[in-house]
Amino acid sequence: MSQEVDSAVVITMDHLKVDNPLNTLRPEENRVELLKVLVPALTEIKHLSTFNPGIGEPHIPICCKQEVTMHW
Amino acid sequence: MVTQELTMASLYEVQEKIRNRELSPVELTQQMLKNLELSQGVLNAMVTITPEIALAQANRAEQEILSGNYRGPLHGVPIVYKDLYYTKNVRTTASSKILSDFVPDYDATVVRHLTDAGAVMLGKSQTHEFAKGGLTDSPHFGPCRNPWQLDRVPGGSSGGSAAVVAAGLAFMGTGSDTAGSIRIPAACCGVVGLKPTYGRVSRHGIFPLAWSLDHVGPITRSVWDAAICLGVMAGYDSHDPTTVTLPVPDYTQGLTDIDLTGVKVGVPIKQYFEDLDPEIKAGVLAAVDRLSDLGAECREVEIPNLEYTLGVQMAIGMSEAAAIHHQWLSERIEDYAPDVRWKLEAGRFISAVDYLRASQIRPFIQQGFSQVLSEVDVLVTPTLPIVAPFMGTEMVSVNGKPESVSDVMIRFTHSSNVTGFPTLALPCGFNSENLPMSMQLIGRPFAETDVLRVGYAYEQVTQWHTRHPHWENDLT
Repeated sequence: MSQEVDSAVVITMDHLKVDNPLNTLRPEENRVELLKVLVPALTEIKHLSTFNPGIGEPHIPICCKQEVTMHW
Repeated sequence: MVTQELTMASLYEVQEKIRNRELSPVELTQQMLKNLELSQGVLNAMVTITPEIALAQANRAEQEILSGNYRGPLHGVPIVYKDLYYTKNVRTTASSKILSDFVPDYDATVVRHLTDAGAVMLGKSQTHEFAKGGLTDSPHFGPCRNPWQLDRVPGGSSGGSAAVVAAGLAFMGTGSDTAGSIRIPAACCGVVGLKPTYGRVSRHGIFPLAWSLDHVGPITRSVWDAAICLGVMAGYDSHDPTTVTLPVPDYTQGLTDIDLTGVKVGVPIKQYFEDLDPEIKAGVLAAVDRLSDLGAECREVEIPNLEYTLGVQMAIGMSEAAAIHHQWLSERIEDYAPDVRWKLEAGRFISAVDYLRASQIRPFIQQGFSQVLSEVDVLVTPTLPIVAPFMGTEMVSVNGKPESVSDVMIRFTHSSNVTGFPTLALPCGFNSENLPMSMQLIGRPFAETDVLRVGYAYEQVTQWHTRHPHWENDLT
């Protein structure tokens, strides 16, 4: 895992800490179960930050149909 | 008389007998309802069986056919719908507690198409809860079992449809596919699963999992059967703005010739043939050899940007699913199966930036596949790196490396949801434990005819699709 990916995952994990105000309703045992799913997913997702499409590219498609038809 | 052999026949054979008035749709339906009821104690593949509707539709079909009003190859043919498909006045649960009493007041567009074609609805098949998983082990309706080996999962999320079709309990089961949910159970159960191009088949009236990745399609026992069903299911629908106005071709056209001379087949060896069960690797590579024998020009290819597909699928899939379930996650969190709950809740922690970044990268992945598919007509890959896992297994070892079952199941399938390209899964052999193995054929957008043609040719020179499980031996 690159340092960039690693730190991005850590930041997101911080939001889930028991003492984080954003997370006051989450019991500890639920947090553990959630993290089992979330950590591998976020690791994969944060890997996207290593993709470099080029400055300003591409223009983001507006809707699914255009996304499909415009790029084929 | 409706024999066991007939209930295991392909849709192709059965529709011929019905059309020629050699087979009564009513007798066929009665026998299949009986078998389906019996199977519940063994396979538990259905959420709801609808004998009254089935017999009424079969009676109507029989009367119409006898009076010379034959509607086509699905007329009088018994099928099942995944329990995500809305069926008017018939409960549609998504194998969930939350929707356990939900009775839609309209049919999904695809249900309407199939009903208009004369298909007979036997009932609603099990799904992984809300289609969010590959095991079809709903705690609310009990786990569905794999007819090849009852202690194994049928795959998912369309596990009920695949189990029913493999077991000879229906001639087609509908599926939906967001990361592989048609192809994974088709692979686990040794049947054919077709995920069409995004926009080819309407999703209107089918409970969504992730709207920009969701596809719907058929699960059948042969490629010809899948082609016929797709032809009925496909088409523009004003209720689903992602559907396209392209005409629906006759998908069976070209399914007569097994000569693949001139067809170019790409095999992404480095990207799809490492870290998988050696028996599956050997099975798919042997299938590539058969395609060469049939005249296809097979060569190794490499797909650009493939390493980003899983991140894109997860960022988009998890976010869209969390958005769809947002209200229930706040109000009915305890009513989800634990694994579905964690997966949906995790989606709430994907940032908007991650979602949009994934959307930004997605066209590059589509371009990567398009680039390779401008040089070859179809790609051949394994459907799954493993055979159907044992029920209750969370981790598996693939070539000695531990991996979670949920990750390994979607490893080779999810990229076709990111691209939207048509993908056919079909049996390519059995392993040493007599469990089915499967390969995928990936084609260009709206070129379902290509993957069907290659799949059909392969099927004609192999016998895998004629092998059936003997789940009935476990009836007590």
